[in-house]
Amino acid sequence: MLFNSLDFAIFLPIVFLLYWFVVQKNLKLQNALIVLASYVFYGWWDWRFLSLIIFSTVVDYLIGNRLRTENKQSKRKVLLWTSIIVNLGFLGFFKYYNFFLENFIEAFSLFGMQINANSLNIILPIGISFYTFQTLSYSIDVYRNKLEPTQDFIGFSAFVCFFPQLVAGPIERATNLLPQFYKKRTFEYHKAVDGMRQILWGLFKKVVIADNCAEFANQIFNNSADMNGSTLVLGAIFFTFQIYGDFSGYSDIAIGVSRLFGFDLKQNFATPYFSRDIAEFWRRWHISLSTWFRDYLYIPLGGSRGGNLIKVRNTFAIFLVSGFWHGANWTFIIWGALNAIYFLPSLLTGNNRKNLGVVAKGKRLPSLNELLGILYTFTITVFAWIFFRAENIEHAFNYILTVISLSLFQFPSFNDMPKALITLFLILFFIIIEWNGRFEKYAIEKRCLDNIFIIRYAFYFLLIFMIFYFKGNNSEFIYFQF
Amino acid sequence: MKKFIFKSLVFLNFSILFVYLFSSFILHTKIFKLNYYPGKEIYTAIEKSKKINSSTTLLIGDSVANQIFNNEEEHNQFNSLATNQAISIAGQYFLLKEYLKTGNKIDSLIMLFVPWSFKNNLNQKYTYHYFLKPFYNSDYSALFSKTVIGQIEKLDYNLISQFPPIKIIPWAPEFSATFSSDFTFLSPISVEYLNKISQLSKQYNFSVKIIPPPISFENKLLIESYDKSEILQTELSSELLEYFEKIKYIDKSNFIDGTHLINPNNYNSIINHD
Repeated sequence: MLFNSLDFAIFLPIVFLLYWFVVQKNLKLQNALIVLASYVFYGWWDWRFLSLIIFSTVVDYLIGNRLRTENKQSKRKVLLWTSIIVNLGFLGFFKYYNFFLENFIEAFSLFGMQINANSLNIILPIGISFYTFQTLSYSIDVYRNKLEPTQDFIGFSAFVCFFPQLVAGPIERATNLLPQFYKKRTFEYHKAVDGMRQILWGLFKKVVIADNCAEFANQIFNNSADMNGSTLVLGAIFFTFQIYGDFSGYSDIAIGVSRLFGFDLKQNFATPYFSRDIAEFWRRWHISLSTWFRDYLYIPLGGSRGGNLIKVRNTFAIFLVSGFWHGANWTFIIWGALNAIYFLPSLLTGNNRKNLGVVAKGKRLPSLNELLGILYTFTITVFAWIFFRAENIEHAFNYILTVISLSLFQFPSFNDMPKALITLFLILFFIIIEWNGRFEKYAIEKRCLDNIFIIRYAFYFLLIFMIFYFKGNNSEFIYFQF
Repeated sequence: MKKFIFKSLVFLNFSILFVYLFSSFILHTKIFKLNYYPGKEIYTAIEKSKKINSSTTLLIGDSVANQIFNNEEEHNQFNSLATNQAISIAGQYFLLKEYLKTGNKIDSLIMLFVPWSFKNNLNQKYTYHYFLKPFYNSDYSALFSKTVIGQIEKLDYNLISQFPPIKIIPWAPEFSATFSSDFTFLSPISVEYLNKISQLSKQYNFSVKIIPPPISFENKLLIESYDKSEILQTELSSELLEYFEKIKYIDKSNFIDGTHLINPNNYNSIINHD
């Protein structure tokens, strides 16, 4: 079920009313309703893959409980590795089996050895990368004694499959989300209104920004061989806003929907395209995944302690794994490697924590230095997105070669120039709103509250009208494929 | 909780009202007919059909005809109401009927179509947006035959096609057409409305010429495979037989997509040469 679908517009009020009017007095029933609703939500795509979620839930629940009673370190390790192998095993099979098989065959053929093996027609279960990481965080935190294992199976199931963030995050830590399933939840008017507002903003980002940009990004990337350099530059910029609008829009809707049910999820994006350096970008982009890798991979590997070689190794490890997490394609690995290369200079010179605050604090506009930093970071990010979006490495390199050719100085051409201009105008509107709301958890969180009633509601109606009138054609969320 | 639900419902109602009023305003002012609105040429043709024009020749046609003789431009020898094949021959008839009803007098009607435009039986992906939205209203509904109504009833959400918020957006419901194999060239709707055009020509005393634009060699076999006996069902059979004789095949490199021309202005003389 898509957030931006009629199905969800019917599903959400039904679950909301049942949750607050029928089962509101019993926490267990509320959690059971969440589990049921989440299974319906997920099963709407393909009910067969529900078995994977249920299996993963049972395994991690049992392992968590065994870890509670087990004191022997070696046995605790075995339990933890069982959880890791089961979860990553599923992920590896469904997501990476064909990739590894094809690459092994290719590698052996380089030495003149022909291997006959057939790739499997595997469908990637939606959201597997997200809920796998979420359940893993539970097992690891229990193993590290950071979290008391739960004995409430329904509550744990609800944590694993919580429908607002089940298929595309934010990837919640058990330490943050699981305890919320044990506490009595009371309806809070302001929280619910805030949730509605964030849903509205998320819908705008997805339907207006991402879906309109998608039309041109797809058109340009799919026909890049016939386009000039300037059009390809715009294609990369369209994709840059498509992926941001799409993914952060999804996160906003997920967080907003959760707030309607009394839950607080973590902020997943913090105006990343206003970052002054790449380290700041990575503190602001897909925060729930970046911090997951930091806590469960980077720090266990030694983090930024130790010599430069260790730092380089760990940085590459985290970025390459992050790239590979996005998909079984070398383009994602190159994208990860590029970001590692961007990131390393600031880490090695100790400048990676230079820009911790929000840009242009207390000012309306950035200083020249800040602006140059933002533009530089944005440019190298756009460059890296080319690899992320390209079909394969050859496609990415050909794309870049055309960008740096003389055709860069030709006028951009689109099948539908007026619509392309309107899309650029919408991006500009989006940037202005995001800039004004850069101090908030989402761009229209407080800004709207400061305004007088009429202006506030005029702004909401404007967003609603834009969602309606400028709705793009693409409806799938990009991150579902990850 | 009650306050939240009450305020949400009020907000929802106001949002619907706002979208409705704003859409009505946009529809009224015709702002929706911006360049990127798909099918804007149909609304241009509808407006033109309601205005008096001194030209005694009228041209109607599909998107290739609109490429060569754009309906937004003035043409010396005729008035162009060329639109798109998606409106079907029924939609072409509505434009012609309206044009005559307005008081325009014509000696000659030129119909410029690629052969596969006659296959439209209002069963296409684009029927909702290109035909239903512009024509499914009180101005034209009296001109709908039973066949047309039968086809419209197969389209989801047909009853809300005139709702202003729906009309101003490029959205149309998904529709997977089931093509009838009963005809190869002329759909039942084309036969029906070609006959109606023929009757109008007798009533208003004008001649009808059906002309093909240049066609790609790639499509020669397809066109030759058409069952020409279908033509005999219409009152314009002699015009249609001549139509096939006039087809001029040119190299596929002259086309964007096998149908639409790369340089449409090069073919302005096809009507003079006819």
